[in-house]
Amino acid sequence: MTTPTWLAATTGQAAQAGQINQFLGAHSSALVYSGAVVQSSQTTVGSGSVASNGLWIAQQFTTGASQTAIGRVDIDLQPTGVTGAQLSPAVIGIYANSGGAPSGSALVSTLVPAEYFPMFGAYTYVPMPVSGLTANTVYWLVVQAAGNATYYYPWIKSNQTSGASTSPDGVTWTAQSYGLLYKVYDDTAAGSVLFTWEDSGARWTYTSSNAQGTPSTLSEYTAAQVAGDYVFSSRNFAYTNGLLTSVS
Amino acid sequence: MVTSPTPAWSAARSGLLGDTGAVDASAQINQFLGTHPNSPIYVGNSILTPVGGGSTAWQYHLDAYDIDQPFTMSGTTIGRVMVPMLPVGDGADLIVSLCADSAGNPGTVITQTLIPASWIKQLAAVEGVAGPSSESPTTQYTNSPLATAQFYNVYMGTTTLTNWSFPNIAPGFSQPNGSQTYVNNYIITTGAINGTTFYNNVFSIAFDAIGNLSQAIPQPGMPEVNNGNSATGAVIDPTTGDVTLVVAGGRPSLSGITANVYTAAFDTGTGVVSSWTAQAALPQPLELAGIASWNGYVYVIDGVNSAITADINTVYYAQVQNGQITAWNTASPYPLEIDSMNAVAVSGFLVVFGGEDFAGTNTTACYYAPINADGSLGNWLRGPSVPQSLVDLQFASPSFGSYAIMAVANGQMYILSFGPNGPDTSWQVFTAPTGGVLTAEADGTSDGMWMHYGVYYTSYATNPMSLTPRISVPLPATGLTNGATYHVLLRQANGSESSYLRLHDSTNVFPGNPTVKTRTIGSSTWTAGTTGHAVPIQIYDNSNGSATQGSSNNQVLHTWDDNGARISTLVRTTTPDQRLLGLLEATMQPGPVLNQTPTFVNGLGQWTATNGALAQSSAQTHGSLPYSGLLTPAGGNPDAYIQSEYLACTPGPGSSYTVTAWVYSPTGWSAVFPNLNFYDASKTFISSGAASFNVPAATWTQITATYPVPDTALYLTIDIGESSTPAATNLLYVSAATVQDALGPQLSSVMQINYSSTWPGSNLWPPTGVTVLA
Repeated sequence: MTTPTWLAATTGQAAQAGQINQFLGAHSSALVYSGAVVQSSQTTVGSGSVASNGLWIAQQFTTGASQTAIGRVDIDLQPTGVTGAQLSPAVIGIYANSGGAPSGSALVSTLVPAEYFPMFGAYTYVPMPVSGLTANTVYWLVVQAAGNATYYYPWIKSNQTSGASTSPDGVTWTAQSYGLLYKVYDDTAAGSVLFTWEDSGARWTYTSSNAQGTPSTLSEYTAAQVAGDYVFSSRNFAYTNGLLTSVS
Repeated sequence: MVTSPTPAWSAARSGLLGDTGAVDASAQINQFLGTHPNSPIYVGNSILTPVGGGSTAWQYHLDAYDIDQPFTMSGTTIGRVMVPMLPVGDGADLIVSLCADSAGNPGTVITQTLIPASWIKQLAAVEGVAGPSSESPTTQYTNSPLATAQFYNVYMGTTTLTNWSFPNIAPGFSQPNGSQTYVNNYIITTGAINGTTFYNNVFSIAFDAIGNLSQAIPQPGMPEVNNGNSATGAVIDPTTGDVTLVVAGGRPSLSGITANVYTAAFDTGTGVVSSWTAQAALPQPLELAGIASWNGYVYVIDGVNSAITADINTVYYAQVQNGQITAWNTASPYPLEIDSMNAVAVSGFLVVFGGEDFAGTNTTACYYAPINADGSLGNWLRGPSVPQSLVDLQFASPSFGSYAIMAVANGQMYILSFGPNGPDTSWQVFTAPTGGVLTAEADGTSDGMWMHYGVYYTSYATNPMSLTPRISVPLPATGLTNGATYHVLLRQANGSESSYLRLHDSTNVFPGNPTVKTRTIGSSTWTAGTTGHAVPIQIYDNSNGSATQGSSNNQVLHTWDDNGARISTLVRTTTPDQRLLGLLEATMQPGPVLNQTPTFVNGLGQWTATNGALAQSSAQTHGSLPYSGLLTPAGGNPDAYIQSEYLACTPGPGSSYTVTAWVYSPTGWSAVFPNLNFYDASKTFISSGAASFNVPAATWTQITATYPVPDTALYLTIDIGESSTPAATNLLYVSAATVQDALGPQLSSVMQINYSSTWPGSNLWPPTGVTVLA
């Protein structure tokens, strides 16, 4: 019997044996490094944003001349809610292209809780490890519909006049006359480990490092047994004389 | 529903109620899925060091009393507290609270830690045999592998002075100011000096374990006079147990020093010294050298050179066989060129401390070297410096059963714990009786008890000495006020008539002489102890960057997660390998349910209703429970609630309780409360701990709150209901209503890491396995 997929518990739900056994074996995982190289991006700010309230939002990009894998994406989402009670996680994925629109199921997707975004400035780092892509080929970076009129994920526009597409249901897409800010990285294994990504994203962690190369922040996400539920923590590490003095 | 962030550490507990068909505590899974707020606690620097004058060992017992020790804060940060603690029988869990001051009594709790009994037992070098606390404990060695020198010391008891006299060496002269040593229960003196006259007298002086020093008995004189500058020691044959006295070097005349070495057999049964015989001379003449013995070898360290122009740093050693020394070997040179130092062998190490250079500049340095099986030495290592410089007047340093070394000087007694895994990180200091010219120790009446003798010409002082386990308690706090008064509150959480904890009493311990306070279990009144008496705790900051040579305050000693919900202790050697010897862990569990009828499955029990009616109901049930309790408000009242029976509680500070219940409101209600009412000894109401919850309609909702107990409260009740004037239609179903001590028991473990040898042996790494000790 293999190690069960990571699964956090939800109060009021029946306990599962897998929720004990998940700690008793190794999990399949991908590591994303800080040295990954940007292969495609749009970073010049335009005007305004597109809200995820009732709307799927997508931005097309082209893989690099020799790129067949992605390690992570940076995306300029600025959620108006900062807790899970206000806003469900952003579901961000990579899709193949067909007829100028996202097609089929996600090749990879990551759930990113609202609490994670305020740690970053403009661009939020998101683990998105996927391989088997075709170089120099169009794919789509997609944010699923989420939120309501008050709490949602606005994706900031770039200065481009095309590239974005929207959909009310993730099936029927309409091309737009603007682009959106993003960066797509390859999976170069260099530098420090930035992300661990386990059981197809059921659990992922993000580690930032200080100038001395020691961890300064550790964020951890684990999906729970009810859709949309999760456990998320983000801790800061403080040092004195090079020795750890607190985790807060 | 979303869970974020990581829930606090909490061990699971079988039999807790509720919800047998649901995850009542999903947090117990989710606690493993994120990092917890954590304070690493370093060895740190001592900011409050006890300097006691000695008093009664193990006077206080926590089965009958809570103990409060006030102190004046130095600095603004605390990392940990060390408490002298004797587990009797199985011991008990210990609650340690740092409290603000409230009119001289412990007030608001600033931080608190629970230490499991298993830790106290496994870190204790000595324990009390199970027995009632009305009797003084009988102590026995534990031989625990994790009871390293950092976790014990030797404490000084009350001083007793007795008149005594030394026999005349010459008309009008009766001062035993020569060189001396002691072995078993005898002090042996060799030589003396009166002005410019030297003597060759030898005396043996018997002493016992209870403070009786006999008259000095003359023994065969030395072959040559000795002004006290020779090194005198006693060597025990490891095979036969025979004792050989050794006198090496010294000054037989004003004009020169000697390399001569003499030995004599010593009968430990009669105190008789046999005749002296010359042995192989030292490689060079020297005086004021240090001397020690171990495993049949004698060591002569440093001293003044033959030309009396400088100190030397040679270390000579020889094996004593059948009372004979046939050859001297040279060991690793001592790092300093000094004389008049203290030297002692303990736990397989040769330790040298104090002394002065030839110019007369004293040193506080301490060095130690491992002794190999063939008598040779390993490299010298820097140990913790003595708090004050010591110039030995040819005293033999006691070694307290190989647990510690000691010296008396400058009106103080200095003790450094030592063990096979290295020394403690600092010396302990006591205010000693006036220093004697002779010093010795006798094995006491039970394990870990000795009687120390400080002998002067006309009197002698005795002090009972106690091997004392010291438990290190992580108690991190910042933002404290320098110079303010705080309190360390000690309370035992469980135990029995024969299993409990004991603490020392001492006098003149801390600056300002804060007096210990006690509170009888079951009372809410603090009583001051005898003025000037205190528990000799020690407090450390959490600094980690000391550059002081020989210190090790940059080692993590504890972790402290989620405000003490999970704690750990790492036990390491203090030898250069610093290898991990053991790991102790503890995670808080919810306390046992205290009320008798937490569900309504078998009726209403002792629950009563106020401003309403209570009935058993199957209309709305939670989990797999067949019934709940239905509260029907009478209407027109500010509130309606159900109340439990009176339950005994522990008064504050440092005591709190958690009330939990599942509730169901068909209509929804915005002001549902789980309160605790607190009462004094006569069950007169004092105050309430209160909280209010917005319960949605038709949804079983868990409500819970934790409240501190007032200092005068001895009883509580659970009160669950609705405020804000509920109508008769605002029904409230209640299930699994419980109250638990917020400081529950702990899931604890003590683990020893095994190695194939000890330092400085070879093949130390990697470990060979792990043994769970508790």
